[in-house]
Amino acid sequence: MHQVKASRWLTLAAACALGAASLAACSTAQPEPSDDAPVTIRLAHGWVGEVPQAAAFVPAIEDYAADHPEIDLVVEESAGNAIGEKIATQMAAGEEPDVFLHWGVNRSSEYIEAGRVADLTDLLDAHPDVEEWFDPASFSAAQLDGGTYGLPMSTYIHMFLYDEQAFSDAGVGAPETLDDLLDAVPALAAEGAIPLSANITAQRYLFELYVAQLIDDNEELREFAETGEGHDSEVAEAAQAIIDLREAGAFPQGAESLTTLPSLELYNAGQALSYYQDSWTLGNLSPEVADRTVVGLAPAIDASSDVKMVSGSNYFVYMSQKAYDDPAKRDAAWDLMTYLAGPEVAARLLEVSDAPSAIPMDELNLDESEISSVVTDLIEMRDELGPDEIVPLFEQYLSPEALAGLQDLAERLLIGQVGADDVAQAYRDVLADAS
Amino acid sequence: MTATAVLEPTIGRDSPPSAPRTPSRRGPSRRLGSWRRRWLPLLVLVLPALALYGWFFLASVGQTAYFSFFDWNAISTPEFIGIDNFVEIAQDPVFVRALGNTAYMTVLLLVVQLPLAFLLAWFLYRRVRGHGFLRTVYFIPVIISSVAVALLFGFLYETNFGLINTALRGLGLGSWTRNWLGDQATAMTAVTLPLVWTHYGLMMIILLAALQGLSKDVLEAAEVDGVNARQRLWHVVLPMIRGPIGVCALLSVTTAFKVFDFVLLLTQGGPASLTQVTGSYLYQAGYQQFKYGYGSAIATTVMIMVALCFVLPRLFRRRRGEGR
Repeated sequence: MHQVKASRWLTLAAACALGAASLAACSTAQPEPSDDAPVTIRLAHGWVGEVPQAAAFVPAIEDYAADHPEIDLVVEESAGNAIGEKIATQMAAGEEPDVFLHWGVNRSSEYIEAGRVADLTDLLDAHPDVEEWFDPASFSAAQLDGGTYGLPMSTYIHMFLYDEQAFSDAGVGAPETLDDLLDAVPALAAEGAIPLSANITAQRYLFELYVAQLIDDNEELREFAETGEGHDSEVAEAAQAIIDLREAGAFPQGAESLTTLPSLELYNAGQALSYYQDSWTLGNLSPEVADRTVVGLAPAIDASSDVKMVSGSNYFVYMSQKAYDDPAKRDAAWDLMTYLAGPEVAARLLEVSDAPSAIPMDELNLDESEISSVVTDLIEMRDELGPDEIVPLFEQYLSPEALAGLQDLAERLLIGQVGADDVAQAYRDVLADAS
Repeated sequence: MTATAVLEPTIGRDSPPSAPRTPSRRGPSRRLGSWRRRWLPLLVLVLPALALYGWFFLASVGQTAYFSFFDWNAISTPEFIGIDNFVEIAQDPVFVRALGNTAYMTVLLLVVQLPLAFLLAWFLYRRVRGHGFLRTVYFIPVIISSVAVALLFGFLYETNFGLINTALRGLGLGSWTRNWLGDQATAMTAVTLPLVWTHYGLMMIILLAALQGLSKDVLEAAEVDGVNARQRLWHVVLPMIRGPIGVCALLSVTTAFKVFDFVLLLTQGGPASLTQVTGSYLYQAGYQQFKYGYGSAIATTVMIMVALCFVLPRLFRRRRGEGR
């Protein structure tokens, strides 16, 4: 009897041991690294899929991996904004990637303040050539409390594109002011087309430009963006301009739920005759449409204002503090970062994806024949403007929660839930809630 | 039989159950040995499942409830703030709207999805021609990824070149076109329809199984008693599958409170929170705005509300003596 019991328990114990052994076999135990073993670097980025930069960026990463057998590059992708959520999850789990592409400190400060992102100041000091690649202003959105945390990956330029021939056929010229645009809308609509393809995000960009033009002072604009105080009349006037455009029929039907790339498709398909958006979308502009497209400044609400354009850098490549603390990883991660943000990839991004970088165009070794005239015209137009004529996006000054509130406010304005005179107070409420 | 014999298990191997027992000083240790023999192997076998359940469900739920009392962004050190998150929820107009939208979605699932699933199940139960093929066809949406379904419905709803508006314009009904996902009158219904489409097949299978399990004798007896088709359905069939219908209703309610994928894929909860539901709002609070503590509080609030939805009716029924 006892022997039978003992054998039963032995069987049970053996089964448990087998199960434990199976689980152990499935675990991620790492072998001891040897000196010549490749360094594993995890890279996370969102330039994949239909994101225009993917066409240049993904092959560039593949080339880097092939050229660097000493680095075992593990690439983790999630297209567009979804990469932000992926990195947030990884950060929460303490499994952040070694190198990652992410927005400026407005959306990365949580990670920086928690000590999860490396301060690159020492590395930049040790490699002054790297810092010299970039326009110095392009680092501002990656700086916090005296530290520099990212290398600029791109530049955003808000652009107004229009089909010159279609405008001419409708009997209207290039609209330089808001009044010009409002006058042109009926004529353009009479052609059976959408006068201006601007989804709700683009309308928010236009609203921000108009607020900036009416405030007409970069420092005051920054203070307003952060506090919402002191410019109620300018905000109301800018909001009324958006309402006027909407009521005139300038925007596409369904702009409330239109996402960014489909709004470009309306312009590509000839259903819209002009387009206002961020320059990251340029890579998806069809070549045939690009041939008949002219780049211009957005029609101004106040032609006498110094402010002409919204532009800046708000997308960077970062290194995790964990990677920085490991000397072998730090060197490999820095090498990868300088490659991704450097002139070689910047040139490919410009040639293949029409994506402007933070490195001046004349510093890049470019095949001019590969670059769309729309991109070169846009960059030249931006470069001709002085520092007082260019303002950054509000979002560079806003936390993720405040930015979500601002976007929600723009949506409420568009669907008529909030009137122009109430926008300034509503914006203050957004900032108060976010704080 | 002595008191000791009553307490002893009756399936012990060492002594036959009918054997008379006498009180003994070794009684407690015997009882322990018997308990070990009887329950320990069972406990060992159940332990892995219990551990997994405890880890993946109880611990997760407990942790969510715990963090709802903290201000925490998932990276920083959590700061205890008592019930502040719940006070904020009570005053949050977006949460109130999300709750209203979730209630609307629940009603729509109950009044559209459930009857539709029952009709199709009844249709198949009557063994119409090609019922096997139709059963497969009706079930296909259940196995399609929610991303694919959202893309499909996104194409249908798209305002400028979507199928619905294009068809309406083609039929000369251009004035009926609208922004289905952005119009206050249609947005929530438009977001709910993909959910109905993907889930009705599962409900249909549950109800079909219930119908196929009905006693033929009862149905024949009803026929002998002279009931007509409508009476048979209303007074015989439906009462007999009340249980499975209740399960389907339960699934509908929990689906509405859990859904976030269709909302995020189709509208991101917008415009202006018109289509925000509790699932999408807590996802955005946690993953997009770094408010994990607040997101946990939303999850806890919703969990309590759903639990109350099911516990309270049972309690009332029990008080009225129906639940016994």
